[in-house]
Amino acid sequence: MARPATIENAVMELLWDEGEGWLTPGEVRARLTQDLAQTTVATVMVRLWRKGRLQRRPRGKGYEYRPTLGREEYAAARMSEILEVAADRTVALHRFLELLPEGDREGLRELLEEE
Amino acid sequence: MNTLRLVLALGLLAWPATMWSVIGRSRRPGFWARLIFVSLTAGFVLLLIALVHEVLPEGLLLGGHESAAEMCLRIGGHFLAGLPGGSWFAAGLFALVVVGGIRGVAQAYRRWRMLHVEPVVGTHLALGSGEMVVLPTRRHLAIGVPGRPRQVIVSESVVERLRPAQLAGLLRHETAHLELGHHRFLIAGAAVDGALGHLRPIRRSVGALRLSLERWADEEAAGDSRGRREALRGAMVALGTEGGRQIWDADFAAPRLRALTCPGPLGAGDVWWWLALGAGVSVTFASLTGTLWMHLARLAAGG
Repeated sequence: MARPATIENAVMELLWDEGEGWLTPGEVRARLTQDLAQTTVATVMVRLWRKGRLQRRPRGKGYEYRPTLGREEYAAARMSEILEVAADRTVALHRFLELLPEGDREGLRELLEEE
Repeated sequence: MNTLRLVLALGLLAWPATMWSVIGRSRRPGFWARLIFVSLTAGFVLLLIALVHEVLPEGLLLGGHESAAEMCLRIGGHFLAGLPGGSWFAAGLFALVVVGGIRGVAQAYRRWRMLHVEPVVGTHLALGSGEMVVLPTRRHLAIGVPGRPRQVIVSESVVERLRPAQLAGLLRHETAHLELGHHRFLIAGAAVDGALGHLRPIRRSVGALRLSLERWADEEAAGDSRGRREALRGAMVALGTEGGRQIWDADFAAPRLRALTCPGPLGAGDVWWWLALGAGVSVTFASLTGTLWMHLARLAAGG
């Protein structure tokens, strides 16, 4: 059984390959190489819609979907998100750092400046 | 009794910050990280128990269970509840600690989830049981992200800037974080920081935990090899500046650089620290439960 994140990625890749086209969960399932239940595909697509990665519109009794952003746009958006979170993490690390007595701190700064 | 609990809890939460600069940096970082983890977790749990003890008698009185409230008071004693509005203050404090702890943990998980890189972003390469992701950015970046698959994320600028031995050292360092399950330690740290991080000594204790984890990963990555130690140290120095600007804090980098300059830290004597901690915790819990049993026995005897 593939993990939900793996199925999400496969669905996104497929929809990106479709370009501007709208696809229903049934159509996505038919195109996927993995053997998945339609309910699984539908659940994954609803989850992606809730995350804002897909947009949808009614078709018949259900919905059809397409990506909110193109592949490159999405990659760029994720890149800035990752860099932002990574920068926050660095700030969070530094927030903790008041461990050393002042004398030691000065000595160690000198040590670093020698590097 | 509850005063003792509160003092003990705050002591367990605050001591690592003080002791780190005295003895922590000369001991094995893996041992220190575990010791701080146990201390922070025990302190946090004990603080919650103490706050519950402050609130419980008032709650029981409000519910009309006077005898139960009296028993609770005799077993636990009071610290704040003796003061006007003390119980309500303790209830508010309990809520703040719990909500802050949950928020801290949720933020840590959210951060890891957001850092997990999908195949469409960057270049994904196999690295042991996980993968290495190279991101096309000039910003220096090297992070280990737990999850499935485990990912070591590095930026192109890092790959270009480091020599092969230094890059290997950096990858070993990040992989060590993931293989040693450091995210579990960080979750405990995030809970304590979220709940009590505004108190400086406790924030510094969480800092001591983080620094110990970094040094632990350094030691795992470097091992006993002098060449590996130098390569890792070289990687840290090479990545210390970005566009001519120093990007790390001397407080954080300097202890790691200094530790990598020296031979491996001391390991002997760790067992005595564990025995001391175990004895301390045992004596505390024995005294607390001893009081409980004593009062229960008195109640059973009609006293």
